[in-house]
Amino acid sequence: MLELTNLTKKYNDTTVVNNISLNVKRGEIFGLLGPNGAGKSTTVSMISTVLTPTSGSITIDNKSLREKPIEIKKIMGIVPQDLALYQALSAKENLEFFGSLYGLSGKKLKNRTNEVLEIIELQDKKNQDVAEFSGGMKRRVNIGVALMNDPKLLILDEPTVGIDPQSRNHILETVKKLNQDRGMTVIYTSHYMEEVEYLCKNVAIIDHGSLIALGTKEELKQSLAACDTLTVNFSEASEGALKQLNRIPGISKVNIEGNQISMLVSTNDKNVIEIVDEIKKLGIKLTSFKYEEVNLESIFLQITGKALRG
Amino acid sequence: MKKLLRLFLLDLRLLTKNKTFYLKLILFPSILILILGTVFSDSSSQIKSFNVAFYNADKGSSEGAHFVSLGNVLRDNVFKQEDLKKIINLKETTSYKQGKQLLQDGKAAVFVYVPETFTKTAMNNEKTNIVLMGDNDKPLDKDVVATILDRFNASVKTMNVEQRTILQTISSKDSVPKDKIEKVMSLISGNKQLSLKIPEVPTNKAAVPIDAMQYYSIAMVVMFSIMTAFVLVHSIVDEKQNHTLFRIKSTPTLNIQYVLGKLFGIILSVVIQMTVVIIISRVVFQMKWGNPLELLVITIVYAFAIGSIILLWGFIAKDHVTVSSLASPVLYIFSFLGGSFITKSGLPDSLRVIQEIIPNGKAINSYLKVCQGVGLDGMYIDLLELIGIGLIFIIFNIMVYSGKRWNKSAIYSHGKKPAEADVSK
Repeated sequence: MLELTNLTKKYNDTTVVNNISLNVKRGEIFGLLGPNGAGKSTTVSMISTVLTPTSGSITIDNKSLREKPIEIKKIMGIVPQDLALYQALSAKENLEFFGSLYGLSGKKLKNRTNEVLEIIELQDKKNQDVAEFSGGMKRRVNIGVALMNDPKLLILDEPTVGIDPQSRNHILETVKKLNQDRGMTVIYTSHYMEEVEYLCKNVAIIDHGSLIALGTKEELKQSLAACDTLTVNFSEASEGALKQLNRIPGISKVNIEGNQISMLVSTNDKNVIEIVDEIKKLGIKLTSFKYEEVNLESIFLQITGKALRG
Repeated sequence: MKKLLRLFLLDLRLLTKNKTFYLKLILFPSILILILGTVFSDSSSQIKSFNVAFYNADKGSSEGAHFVSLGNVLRDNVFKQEDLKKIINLKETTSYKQGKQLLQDGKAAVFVYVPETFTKTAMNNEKTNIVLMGDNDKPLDKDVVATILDRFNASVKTMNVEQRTILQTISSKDSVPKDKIEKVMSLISGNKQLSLKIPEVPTNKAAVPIDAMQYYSIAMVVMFSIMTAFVLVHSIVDEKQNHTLFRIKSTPTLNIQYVLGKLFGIILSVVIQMTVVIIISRVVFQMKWGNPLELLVITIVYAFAIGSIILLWGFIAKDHVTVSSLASPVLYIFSFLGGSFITKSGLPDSLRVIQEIIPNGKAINSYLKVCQGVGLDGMYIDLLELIGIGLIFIIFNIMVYSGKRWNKSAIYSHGKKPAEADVSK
């Protein structure tokens, strides 16, 4: 459905997106993971034709975006990271306006507006100005606008930033439903691991504009020999003791922030309790510890050496 | 086409939801027209027809067989000429006292007395002494007659010099018969060339004179239309800042559709503004604007030209402050040069040339022609030039909009709201 080949975007000497190549299959939800400033939004902007790539190509539905932008735009829905709505207009007016830009008019426009209002569950508030909506409701309208043309490819750029858990769940469920019921291909960018883990089968991880990992969640865990995460809090520890943490068998990627240490642990030879005991033996007085099985967060930590939500 | 319609209706809808629209674009011009109407409907500042008492005591002068009376010439060929008949009602009196009485009774605004020796003193190239008395409450009427008399005196002096020169030339040649000399004298004294014209009366025979109320109403409407364009241009910056421009660019909307949609929004708003002002001035002050269809054509063409110029700034500007910083200088400079503050005739020659070039100057001139009933034939070159200006700037607009490498921070603010305030609101 979507193919990026050696996609690069440079601003003067700064490379924002560096030689990214990936392939999104028809009917899947594809996760694009990365911290703020990783290059996700720039990639989405290039796919949306708002930015022109410095080099590389984008193919959507077997058509080159450079050659047939208008045709491709007709089958694509974009949900920008920032709310892109007219605050002075109602939800219905926003949907109708953007729907008309996709060539809808008359009864078709009216019917589609009602369908979308149903999907985003805002029928009863359709005539209310967007300015009066809560953050979650605005996010839903933001998604609704992208659905007006019933797109084959839906691109959501961090659609849940800054909203309450209830609205977040609603958005995640809506995306899943659109994919399952209508076979819509979805590209979902986020820096929330749990969202990507919940929605996506295939994942790409971007950092500093480069693609650093690509595959299914399972493939990533296996190929990277990824480890579980152990986070401990301490009250007292000498500098020497902290330096020796890396020498304990099964511990890697130690990251110390204040009185908290996060590290990757391999539980092949020892169990967690044994590893915690080893840490105590170094003279580090622990107050608590948290153990998490391998997940995207730990994969990201392993690859980049830093936490995703920084 | 539907997309284009949607785009410009969107601007109008957003504008009508904005209280500034009603205040700045409808209420202000309307109040200004009401003020202008009140000021200029005052009789002392408007030239209406008025009575002139006239007593001609001039006994004339005989040049051989030919009798000349400049007093009669002033009466018959100056005050009674067709153009002045519309303004001056001449009331001849039989005595100086009667004329003065008419003035004192308020039955005449001005009294003109031509003394007995007027022709003789004029012929001898001595100082002439027509007496002019006026009602102090009607200074404009007095000024009009004073101007006419000044012009008359100047013409008499010119004629006198011509006559003397020719007579000297003829008399130096003995062979010229007496009857021929008299014929030449008669021709020189002939009064046809002494007829005067008031400068304000248009040269086009079918044209109707314009009063100050009409002029300044037009001038104000044209000035406010520039402000309207600037207010609408703020919507482009709004769209950059609220990211809807990003969204529009990601839809199958052509660049030309977006540019024209914005421009049509400006045109429609200017037409609405113009219509409201015309209706108010028409209903309240019975101001005559001329043919509505012609007015509509001029308004559309002018809004097209001025809108496309100002729109370019909207595409270039990064924020509202940038738009506003240019709005005031452009508004005042264009309005001054275009003749919104000082009438075109009051501008120096060099600035008058500029007045005829800039779009708002062209618009004022065209509206004036419609008010005068000249018709579109008399202004089609101006209209074509305005269309030309509009087309050139549309090309610039599309180039800037298409080629604009939108600043990444303008597309993605990562949840940060723009720091500046929206000054258009």
